[in-house]
Amino acid sequence: MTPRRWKQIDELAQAALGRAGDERAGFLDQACAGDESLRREVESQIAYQQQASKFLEEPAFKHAAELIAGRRSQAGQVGGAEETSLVTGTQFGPYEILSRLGAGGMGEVYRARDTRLRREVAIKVLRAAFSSNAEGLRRFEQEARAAGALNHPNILAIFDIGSHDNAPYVVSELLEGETLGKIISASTLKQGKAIDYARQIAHGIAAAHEKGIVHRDLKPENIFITRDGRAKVLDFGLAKLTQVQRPGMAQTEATMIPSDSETESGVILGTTGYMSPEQVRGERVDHRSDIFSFGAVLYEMLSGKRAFRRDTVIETMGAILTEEPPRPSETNSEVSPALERIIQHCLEKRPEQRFQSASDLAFQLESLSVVSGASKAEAAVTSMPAKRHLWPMLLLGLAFLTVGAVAGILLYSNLRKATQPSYKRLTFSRGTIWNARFAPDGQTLLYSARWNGNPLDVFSTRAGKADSRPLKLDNADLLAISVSNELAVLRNRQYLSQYISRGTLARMPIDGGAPRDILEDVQEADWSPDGTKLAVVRWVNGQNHLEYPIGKMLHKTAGYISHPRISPKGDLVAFMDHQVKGDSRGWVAVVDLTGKKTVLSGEWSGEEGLAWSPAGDEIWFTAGQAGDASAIYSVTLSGRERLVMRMTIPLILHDISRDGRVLITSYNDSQNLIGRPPGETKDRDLSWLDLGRLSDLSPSGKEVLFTYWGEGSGINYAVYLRRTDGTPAIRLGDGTWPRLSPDGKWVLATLFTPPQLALLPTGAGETRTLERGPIDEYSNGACWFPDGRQVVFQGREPGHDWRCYAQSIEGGPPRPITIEGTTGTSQGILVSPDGRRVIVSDAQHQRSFYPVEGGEPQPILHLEGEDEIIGWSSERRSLYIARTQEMPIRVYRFDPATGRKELLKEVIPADAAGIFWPNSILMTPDGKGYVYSIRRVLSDLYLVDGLK
Amino acid sequence: MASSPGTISRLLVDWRDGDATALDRLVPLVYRELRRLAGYYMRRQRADHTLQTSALINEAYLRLIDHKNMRWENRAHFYAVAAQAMRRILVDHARSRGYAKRGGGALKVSSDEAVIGAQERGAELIALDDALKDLAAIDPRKSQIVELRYFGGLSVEETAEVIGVSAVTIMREWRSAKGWLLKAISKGKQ
Repeated sequence: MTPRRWKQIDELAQAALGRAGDERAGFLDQACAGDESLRREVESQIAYQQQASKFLEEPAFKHAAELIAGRRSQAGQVGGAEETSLVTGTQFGPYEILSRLGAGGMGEVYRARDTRLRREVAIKVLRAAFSSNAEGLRRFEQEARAAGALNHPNILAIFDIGSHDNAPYVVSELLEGETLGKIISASTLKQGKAIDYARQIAHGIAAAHEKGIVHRDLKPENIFITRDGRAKVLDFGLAKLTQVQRPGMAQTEATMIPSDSETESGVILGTTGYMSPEQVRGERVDHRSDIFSFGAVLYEMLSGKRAFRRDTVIETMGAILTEEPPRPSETNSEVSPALERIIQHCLEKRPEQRFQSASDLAFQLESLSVVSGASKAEAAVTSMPAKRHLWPMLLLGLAFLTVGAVAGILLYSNLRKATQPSYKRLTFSRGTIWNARFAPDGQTLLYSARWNGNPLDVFSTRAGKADSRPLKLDNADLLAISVSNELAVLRNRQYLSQYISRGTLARMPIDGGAPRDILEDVQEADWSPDGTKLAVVRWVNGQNHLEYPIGKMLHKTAGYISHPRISPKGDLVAFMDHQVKGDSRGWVAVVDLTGKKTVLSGEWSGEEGLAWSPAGDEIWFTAGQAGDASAIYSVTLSGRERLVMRMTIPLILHDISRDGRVLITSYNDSQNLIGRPPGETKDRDLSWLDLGRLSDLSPSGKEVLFTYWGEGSGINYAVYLRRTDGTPAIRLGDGTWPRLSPDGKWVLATLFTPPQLALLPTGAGETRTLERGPIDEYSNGACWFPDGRQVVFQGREPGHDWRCYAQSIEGGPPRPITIEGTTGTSQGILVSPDGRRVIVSDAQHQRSFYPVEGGEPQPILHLEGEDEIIGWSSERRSLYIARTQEMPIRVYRFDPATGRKELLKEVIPADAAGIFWPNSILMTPDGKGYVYSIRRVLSDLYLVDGLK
Repeated sequence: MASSPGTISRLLVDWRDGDATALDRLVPLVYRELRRLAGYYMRRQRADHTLQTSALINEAYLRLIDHKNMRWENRAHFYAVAAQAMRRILVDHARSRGYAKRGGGALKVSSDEAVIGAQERGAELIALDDALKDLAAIDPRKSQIVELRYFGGLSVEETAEVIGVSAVTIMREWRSAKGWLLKAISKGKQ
């Protein structure tokens, strides 16, 4: 592969990965334009990249420390030990061995007699190699207990678990018959028989799912068909308990859950050919993974072929992720379309598109086996909606936005028949809730909020009461409540960017009194369980430190740390570990009191909100994936993740009470565009889609450009143009920071993946891209020169700092016009109306006029940090500057020569509730027209009971 | 050669200034110090205590470098050297143990074998080293990102500082490089 070819493949793969799954194929059709080999390479890179999410994530040194210190590696010792072999007549506890039946994945299986009950049983004895291996033991015990909890005619019954001469064993019912694997390797099954087995298997799985047990390794070898035709699901060897532990059971269950992750990187559990796509990717797995595996088994029963079979594991995995198996009817004409559709529905790549429960699947199979005649059977299936949500719907009257719409909330829970959680709404005002906590009595609830545009304050309420009492703290956020009713609050929280803030940590009694300051530069804090110490996240030399107690640093990062929460036992601090400042992507991690950090969860985007379960065995958190509203997940200390609850709207988890009730907020994030074209007397609402960020306004004030960055946008966001007369917005293409050319025919936009400047036509025409030259990254928007033939942008070459470049749109590479260390301002790089100077900023936020053709930059004096330069006034000497981080938004005309500021405009939205940073405003050069955008986050607090 | 702080600092400057042989002299010095420190830590700490590479490299840096005469950018160079030293240490170790590559690619497991175990990390390491060399031939920066992140234990932000691009770019290229490597290792040479 040549560097050039690889670059092409990589860039297309990254661009495709930035698109939603269903758009990818179309994108690749277009981008590869008939070059099949290119397309195959790109698809292969995508598939491998998706598989590689956990690959290499653990630095080599974890393993290397042992090597370097001269220790022997543990690997390689496993498997070398002698096989257990027991001879007939051996007494094994109360069991007498009769004969050897075979060998399973983890041990030998014998036929034996239970001397007490005088019945014959099967005994599986753990292989010696495994019994000396802690993980093998744990898995064995886990299998036995998981299966022992099930009592169903289609699941192998477990009678006993024990240990003899240090050899653990499990005793089960003795079955006469063969595995499904043996049966179908001899011949394919008749459709009737296949449906009968499938129906029974589905019932067995459904019973396990109802107990919260996911099999995770369904395959023909794990299904036994007895002589009288009964199907039994065996070997819950990999069963993962998704069950919530009840307080009384916590002790016994804790002993069987492995203390380190069984999904350790490099170890993928499950049998490759039958794994679900989510298993292949190493993602969280729920009961729907079994439905996929079931589909693969059913496929094989009917067609006699594996649904996904390739020469190597990796290729098989690739097939599971990206390929559809051929129709079973191609090899077995007997297979009816109805049955084929059931299989297809099981084998959907996305869990949410499959059957949502095994009992529904069983029901569908029942209807096939009962109804005589294919037409009726088909009708039963085709009447099923394509994307049927079988989860109970719960309607809550929620007042959202200004219209108080009633939103339907779709609840998800792992156990369909589990008791329904109940929801109690606690707040009824309009605004943004920052934080919420239970007081020690479990009945009093405190939260911090900005209601109706008022300053941030802490409020106290009780479940079932409609009103809240303010604590009247001026601009203070609630961080934690101690067991002795003391609050930790953050005064004067200031946001440096999204998610990055600092303030003064203070403590105060819950029933009032003045806060007492403790520490500066704090972002977040939590109380120890006994209420004597605090864990804090604070800023030290630009790095985020996690300290517990204050002064003892346990972890630090150049990214940021959020949501520190001390475990109920006080021995661990859980937190969200974010690698990049201002990017909420991250991991859930814990650190112990010596500073040893363990990452528990996989990588999530949109991580916000975290709390310990009352027993301290799970950490619940809210997170989302791209294009996915956030949901509540949990992760155990051994790294098992599961979905707790999902709604159709975004959520944030705030706290869990000692009896398991949960405080959450649901929220709505929107951005409104409001403008007044020149010559009009009233503002016009120009909002389009939920999250549009104002980017440019034409000099006539008749066109406005904005960037859409909501969930529906791709990795490169999207550029829209809307006329201020109110006609619908037009999507011009992918990109961000769009700028309209002087003649209004082109829009210059920035793409991130791959990095590119693009020219999007506002009318008819083709999108063009500018030559990249040595530029590796673009930022902060590009601008036009007044002649419309050159542009200026902020870019960076590999190994160099940001600087500004000019480039002709007619061709040729960019040329640097400023020194390294210069960037655009918040409104990009502003070019003077004569095209001879640009306004840029340096790292200290000093703004300067920079001559394009060389010469000394001239600092702009008399500007304050919050003053943003938004454009040139048509009176050439002056600039427009704005203050957008406070209400009302103010625009001034500013004369850089004299420093004179003249207030030109004040805008304040009629509705001040929930207004959030960032906002922006732009003026036409004549100062007569303007457009501003307001971001609004409205949230409601709920008390949820019965979540598991 | 004495590994006084002055020596190492000078070698770093030489290397930065384009003297490729300086690197060959640097790596063994850094190697020795890393090995010594690692042994020290392993003896002192409980067996299950995870040793952080970045902490180790930081300590080696503090011990080896003449701080009065070093500019900040040399710290980035030191990280790069240390990551390279770490890679050599590990790969040499694996090769000396004779973890041979199995035919057709180290990770090739028949699909009937079902479970990919954490087997033969040594062979994986050698396969990774070979794949990284191939990647360096077509995309040197991605190869270096992997060296810094995987062998040097650097965070995304730290890697961004060393390479001189944004953290977001590092994240994107890191993912892409891992995909490429996984494919190369799974299939043998491209």
